[in-house]
Amino acid sequence: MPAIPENILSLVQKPARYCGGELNSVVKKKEEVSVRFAFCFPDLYEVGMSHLGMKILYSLLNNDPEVWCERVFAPDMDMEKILRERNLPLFALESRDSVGDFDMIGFTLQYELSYTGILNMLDLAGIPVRAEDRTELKNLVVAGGPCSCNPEPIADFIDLFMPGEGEEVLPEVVNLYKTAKKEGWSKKQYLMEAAKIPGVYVPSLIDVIYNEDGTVKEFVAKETATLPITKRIIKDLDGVFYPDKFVVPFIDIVHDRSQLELMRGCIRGCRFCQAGFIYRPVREKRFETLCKDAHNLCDSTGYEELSLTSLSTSDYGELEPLLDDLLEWTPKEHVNLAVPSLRVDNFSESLLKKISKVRKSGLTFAPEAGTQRMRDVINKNVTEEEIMATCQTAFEGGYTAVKLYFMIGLPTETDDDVRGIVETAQRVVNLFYNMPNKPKGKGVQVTCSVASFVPKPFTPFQFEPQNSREELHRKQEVMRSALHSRKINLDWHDAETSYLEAVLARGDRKIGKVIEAAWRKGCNLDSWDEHFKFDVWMDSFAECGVDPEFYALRTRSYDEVMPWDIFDYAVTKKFIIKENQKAHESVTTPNCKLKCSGCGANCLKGGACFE
Amino acid sequence: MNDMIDFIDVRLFYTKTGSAKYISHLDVMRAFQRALKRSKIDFWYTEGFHPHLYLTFALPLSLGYESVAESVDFRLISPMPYEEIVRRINAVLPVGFKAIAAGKPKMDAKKIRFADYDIAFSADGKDPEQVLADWYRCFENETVTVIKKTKSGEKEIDLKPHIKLSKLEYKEGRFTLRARLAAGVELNINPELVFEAFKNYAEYRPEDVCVRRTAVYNEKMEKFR
Repeated sequence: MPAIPENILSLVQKPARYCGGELNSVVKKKEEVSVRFAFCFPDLYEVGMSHLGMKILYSLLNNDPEVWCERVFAPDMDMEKILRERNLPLFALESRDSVGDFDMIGFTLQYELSYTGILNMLDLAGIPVRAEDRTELKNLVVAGGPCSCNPEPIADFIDLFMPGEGEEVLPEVVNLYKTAKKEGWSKKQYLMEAAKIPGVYVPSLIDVIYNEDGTVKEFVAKETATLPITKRIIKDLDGVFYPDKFVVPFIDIVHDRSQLELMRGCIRGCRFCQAGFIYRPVREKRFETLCKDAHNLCDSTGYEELSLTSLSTSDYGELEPLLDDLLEWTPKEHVNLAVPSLRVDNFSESLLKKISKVRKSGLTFAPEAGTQRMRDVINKNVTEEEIMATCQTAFEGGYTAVKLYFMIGLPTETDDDVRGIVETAQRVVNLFYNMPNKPKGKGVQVTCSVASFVPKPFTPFQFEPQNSREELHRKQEVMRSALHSRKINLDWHDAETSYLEAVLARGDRKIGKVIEAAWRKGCNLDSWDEHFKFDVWMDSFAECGVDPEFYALRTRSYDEVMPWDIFDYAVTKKFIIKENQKAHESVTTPNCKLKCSGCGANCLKGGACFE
Repeated sequence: MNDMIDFIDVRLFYTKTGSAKYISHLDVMRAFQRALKRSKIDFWYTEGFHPHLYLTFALPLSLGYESVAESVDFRLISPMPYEEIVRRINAVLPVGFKAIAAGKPKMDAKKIRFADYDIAFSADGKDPEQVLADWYRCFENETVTVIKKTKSGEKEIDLKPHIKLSKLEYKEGRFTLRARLAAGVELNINPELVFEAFKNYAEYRPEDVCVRRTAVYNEKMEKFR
């Protein structure tokens, strides 16, 4: 009998979030598998179901006849209320069994503000949130994903982390579990063996010693653990598993389409961008592989849209032949092509022509900063001319809405740089009106989305302080007062959200008790503005005697031991320091295709990134 | 447009049961778009700015209800035997949806006037005899007024001329009945209104309600086909 009576589904909003049965979802007989794996995404269905990594690992695990991987998402408030009132457990979508019945419970860590969601989901499943309170092998809680590059803030709650890419290490961890279960190992015995798998981090086997000032003094590896732990990568993307099916949801989700993963990593080296550093080295898929993936997905899902996915799609080496192939068959099969993540500097006319054939919504570009000096500091190697030329091409191609992404609070930033954001937008507006052949009767709309900069681990800005909230609010005012056109929309995120993100991103294990306190006081789904309770978070820091400014606003010296120094993410600290120094000198670094700058990441590949 | 558009109209009858009842009408439409696309049958696509597979559903079904009398119309650009259509579509439909027959549309969906529903519910803690008596009395009144919410606001209507209840029974904790309700573009009576009317009268609500649409008719009480 499933844990969940079906009739509760008629009491909630969007019951299709919880009812399972979607096309391509996998149902097995639980008696016939040896390991049941609950793949948990600590956010709502619509967000989690959009995530490519989950689709890959779900299919990969289910390819093993001995494993049944099911999906679990955070319930929305109405469903949570019903579950708690009726004393029903959080359940997996495929079997509707309690998450507490599962052998392994895996969380994907996509953003820091989802951490309270992990605690809430464990608690709803009736599972103790702290790793030390779970003594059995059953309900082993594991985690991976980008935020596991600094997992220390949630090290109290998770038994085992898998930093880096999961396609190889996750089956190794699951296979070890099969043996453990068969032979009746204790949890401790399993974790001791798991710590021997390259790229597996077991927090209970590493002690952290702190200095009196609260910084990390050193790490002590116990028993079978060794340091540093090197993240795992997939050397050959053409050989690695890629799903030929996606689960096709009934309800509308954030990214409701087939996704084609072109490459991992990014050649650009923008100094603020964590993805640009933690996914190194850059590896591309051959376009023949992609054509095959594309056909498989379109045939098995019936999706009407196919999107090319990567950090910087226009840097993909075989983009033009790939587009030629896709544009050959997708219109016939009534599939639209979506090509996000295009860079402003290599958006060629022939590329635009190809793309405009299939897609005509707004265009988005990310200059990131408003002046050339600032763009040089962050190594966003685009020039004003390139931004204008790209917008010109876009306008000539019939686009009248442009969205520009910027950041404030970057290292060395002055008010001139902040005003430069609005001035850049204004020049884009002027460009439109100065065009002799501008579309008649149409206005232009330039939207500037301005985020507050959050320094992240493993980037050259990991040493930098975040701007205080007061300073960020002041800079938002500077932009507002520089704005004189109604053709420009300015919007920005809460500085409070970015502040908490900064604390959690560079936090250490002392943050764990704060996360637990905040969750116990009702914080959950923090990435949703309507649920974010900043004051409760600040109360929780005070109550636990932890100063958030220590994590968000402090400058770190180059020789400070960082909480994430337990990991080797392949990019050397020497390179990160050199990049930080170059940022302060406003000196740029060429992209990886122009010249190898020796970040060190190619050691994982065993050779040069580009021939 | 002088071009003759060559297409073949097809009406597919299907059932929607089990947890598929939690899929809303809008989501069903999207699921069919995608399922039909996977079947690789040569469908006709609209020719507007955003071409899409042409689909039209005869009578939307409310979220939470099952049905064994659903239908959807589409167009083919090359002929295919009806059994083959049913077979190919069944191979691609999600769990809970099953194609049962296909054929040339014989009636216009605008002519739909009635639908039958099998309804089951419980009334915990109530004397079954009392519940049955309440049902009879509620719907034997001269008028049975409820508030119907429409797009243009709320209005009071008398259900009496638009509903016919039969086969009310009690067995092993569950009440069952058959309701024939006005349906279609002119006036559509949702089974929910029947419960609403009952609640207004008896001051308690049926619980664990299960509704299944079993047939759809025109004004001559011919089955929609």
